Amino acid sequence: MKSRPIAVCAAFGFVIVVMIGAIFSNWIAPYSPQEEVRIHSYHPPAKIHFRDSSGHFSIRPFVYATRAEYDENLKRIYSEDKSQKYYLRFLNSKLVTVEAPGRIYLLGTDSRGRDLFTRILFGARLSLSMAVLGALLASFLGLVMGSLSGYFGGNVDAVLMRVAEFFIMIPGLYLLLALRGALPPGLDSKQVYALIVAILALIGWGSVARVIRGLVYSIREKDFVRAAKVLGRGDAEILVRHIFPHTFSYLAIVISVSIPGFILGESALSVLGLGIQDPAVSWGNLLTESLAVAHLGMHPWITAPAILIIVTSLCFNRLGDAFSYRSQS
Amino acid sequence: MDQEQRVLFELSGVTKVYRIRDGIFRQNREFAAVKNIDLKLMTGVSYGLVGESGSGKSTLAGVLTGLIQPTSGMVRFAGQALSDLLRLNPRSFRKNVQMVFQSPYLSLDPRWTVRKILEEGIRELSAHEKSARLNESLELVRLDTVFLKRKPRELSGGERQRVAIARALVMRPEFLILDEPTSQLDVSIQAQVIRLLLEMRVKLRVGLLFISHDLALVSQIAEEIMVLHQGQMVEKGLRQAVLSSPVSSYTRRLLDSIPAWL
Repeated sequence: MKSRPIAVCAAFGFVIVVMIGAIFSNWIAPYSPQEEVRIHSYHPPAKIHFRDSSGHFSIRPFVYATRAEYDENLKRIYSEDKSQKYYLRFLNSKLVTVEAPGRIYLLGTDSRGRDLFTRILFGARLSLSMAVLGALLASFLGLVMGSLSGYFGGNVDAVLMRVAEFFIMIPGLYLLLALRGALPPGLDSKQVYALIVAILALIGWGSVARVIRGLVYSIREKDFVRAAKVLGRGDAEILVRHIFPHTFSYLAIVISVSIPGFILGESALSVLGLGIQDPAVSWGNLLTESLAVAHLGMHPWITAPAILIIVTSLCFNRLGDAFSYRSQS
Repeated sequence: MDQEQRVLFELSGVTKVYRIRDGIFRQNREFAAVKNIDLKLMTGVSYGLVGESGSGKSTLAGVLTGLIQPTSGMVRFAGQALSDLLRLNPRSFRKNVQMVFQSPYLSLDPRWTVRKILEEGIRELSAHEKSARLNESLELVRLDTVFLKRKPRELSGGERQRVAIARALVMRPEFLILDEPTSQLDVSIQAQVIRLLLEMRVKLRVGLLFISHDLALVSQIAEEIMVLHQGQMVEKGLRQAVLSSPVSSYTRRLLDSIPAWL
């Protein structure tokens, strides 16, 4: 696989931007994710202008006020009211806002008139943190199980690997659904959060454990491990000091490569209503509304989270490739 | 030897059998790496163990260091069964018996600095004691203290092997097992390491077991020579006796293969 530095940098940059967006969503997002303006239901993304209807150019961008009208099917149609301008305000306790009483919807709104841009930023918090925590937990489990298996061999190895294979064998999505289905409904959002992280880790650890086992199996035969034994070091010490460090470059790859899968896993659960639910926001949860085909034609902007999910996943994948390329060369 | 000699290792009837799996449907084959070895190793003596590849030299070294459990037979260290000693008081055994491995490219953790490698066996000691021991053994192997900060990949093969020897010496062992310590080094470096070992013996009075396929090399170091052939001890005796009038025909073949100019 060829490593193209520009693609890797772009992927890295995008991931950083999304992460900054998630961490500072309080400040970047113009509104609160729960703030509803019912009269702005399914408001399309705002058009930002520099030149007004009479042709005057202004260096400060502005948006027009909007008016809603109903067509013969009672579909709401928004049009710009050219008589009323609201200038954008930057760095005024938020990154971007607009003069009151105007509102700016950078990516439009959902059925209840909540700003989608805001919700995507806040959703990134849950989606990314769950994926990262899930990946960390899965690789930790995989490291522990794989190391025990590879280092001690014999029956420990046989039992642990059969368990790992059991989890690898079942297709991930169905295991995800089955596990979620087996657990009680009506949990609060914190419990659901922890549950999803645990489920993601449970699905992911098996394949990590198998590779770690192979690595440890070869490292434990190395002379520096035998030398450590002759020097009187115990098994636990040898594992932690000699063997684990040799698995870290692989773990770095695993973590970055498995994050997109976990983002998709969380989205799959949430979009089906089994994961994060209103009022909490996650990317999957945001997509629930776009399940209705009608929306795709009438309000295409509500699929924005899907695009973000795809692009973020691809970027993490690219980073993982770059890591593995580096560790090979 | 002016010091009183004690029996350090006593092996009786030591056999190690490996099971080899040829395939799922075939029966496992058995392969005896060493067969019925009886051996007494005294303190302060340098022994040489000679044999071709696959003769069981490294297995025997593994048995002596407790890394390999013999299938049958008894290994005693200073009068105590080795298996009990390793279970009850492994530290005292580890302190006394150290080993240098064949390849200095494999026996040093590539991620560690030389200082960390050397201190591995004595981590529990005080900082003062540690640095005293480090300096002492670096001096013995003629390595400068600037090496302490380096990692193995920055060292040459000879330097690495000297680090490996120093790592064994910081434990102040009574007995040192060297498993083909020079076979991965080129000839001039080999001579250097051999000279180092000879000096070390004089200074420390440490017992040695020098394992090699090269009888000429072993005879430079060893006071007593043992020859392993297909897992069996075919020759055992003082250097002069073995070199001048070997008992086994295999030893004679080995002797004949040494070029006359050596």
